[in-house]
Amino acid sequence: MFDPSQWPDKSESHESSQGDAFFDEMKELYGDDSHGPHFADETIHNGVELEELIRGAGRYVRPGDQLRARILERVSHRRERRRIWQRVLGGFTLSCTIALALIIIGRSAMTFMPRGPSSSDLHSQATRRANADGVAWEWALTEVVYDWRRSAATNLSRATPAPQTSATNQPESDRPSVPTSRTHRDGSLR
Amino acid sequence: MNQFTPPPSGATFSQRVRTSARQLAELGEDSISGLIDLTSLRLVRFATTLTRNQHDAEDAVQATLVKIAAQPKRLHQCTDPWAYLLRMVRNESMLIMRRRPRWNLIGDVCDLLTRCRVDELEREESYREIWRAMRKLPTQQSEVVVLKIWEEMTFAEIAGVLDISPSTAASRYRYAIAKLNCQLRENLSQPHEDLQQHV
Repeated sequence: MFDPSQWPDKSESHESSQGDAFFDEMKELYGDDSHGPHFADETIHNGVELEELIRGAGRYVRPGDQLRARILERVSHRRERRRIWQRVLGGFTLSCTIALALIIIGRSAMTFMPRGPSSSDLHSQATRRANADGVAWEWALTEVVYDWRRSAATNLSRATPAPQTSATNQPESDRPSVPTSRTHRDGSLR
Repeated sequence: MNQFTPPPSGATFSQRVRTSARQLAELGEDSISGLIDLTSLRLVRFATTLTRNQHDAEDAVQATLVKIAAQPKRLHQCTDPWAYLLRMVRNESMLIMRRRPRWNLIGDVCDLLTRCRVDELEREESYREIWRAMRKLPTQQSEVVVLKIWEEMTFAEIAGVLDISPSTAASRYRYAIAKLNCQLRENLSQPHEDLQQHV
């Protein structure tokens, strides 16, 4: 089908500068004696060149009337959805940050605040005391708790000086005494 | 005689797309309408050639432009925004064709939304024949024809868009034009001869 001898002279069949550029490009790609394209008989219909017909057919088709509106609506919808996600994500991040900050603050506060003995400490003290004093474990636990409360009260009174009340002015003998194993080692009074 | 008004040259149109992309990157999504007005016709006809269905082509263009609106800086930062857009539309068209393979009647152009100027009415049938003939071409050849003739790109630019070598683009164009020539010579000359015989 292709006949190189029919390669058109661009000065004859392609007068436009665009045609010149095209043939220059084809020459660059294929060379002068190349297997150039078969354009020799491209005048096909009433003397109209094929490329012109195709070029005109490009303007024959138009986009739909709703395409622009559809794209704009879709863009708007997507923007709204992105904003919602940004808000959700922002809220989640904020709540996580607040929770983390509260945890950190709480931990640091627990580090600096004085802490009393835990229940396991009291239990172990009670066990030791029960073994040492030869009393029942429950009673030893009671004594340990009493001792702990007493020491806590002492620490508290050191930290905040208590106001002078009638109760504090009472003589030592009038204060209610707490029976402990130190006063009654055998526990016979109980 | 060339009675068609020449479309804006590739470089000029590419510069306009670049300007629109810059505005889009600076002003945000609200300025996407300028890019739509500028490129939708060309993108739709390119995608229509690929998908062989205008509805699918519009879906591809819509998906592309929505993505561009979401990330406008990608378009602004690339070297050639127009080539980038064409490539995106091509990829979207391929995706749609994979998801929704259509059984298209050969030679059916009923899906096309058309417009024809009054002075071109006599050529309307020719245009329809050309679209039919384009749809009979393999996609690889028809897309080169579209980019070469409608987008007025050089083979080097076409090669950049399609990710092929310029020689391959040129040979595809050559074969496509040869096929179109054969098909259109048969289809377009026949009614003319029939009319002459009738007269």
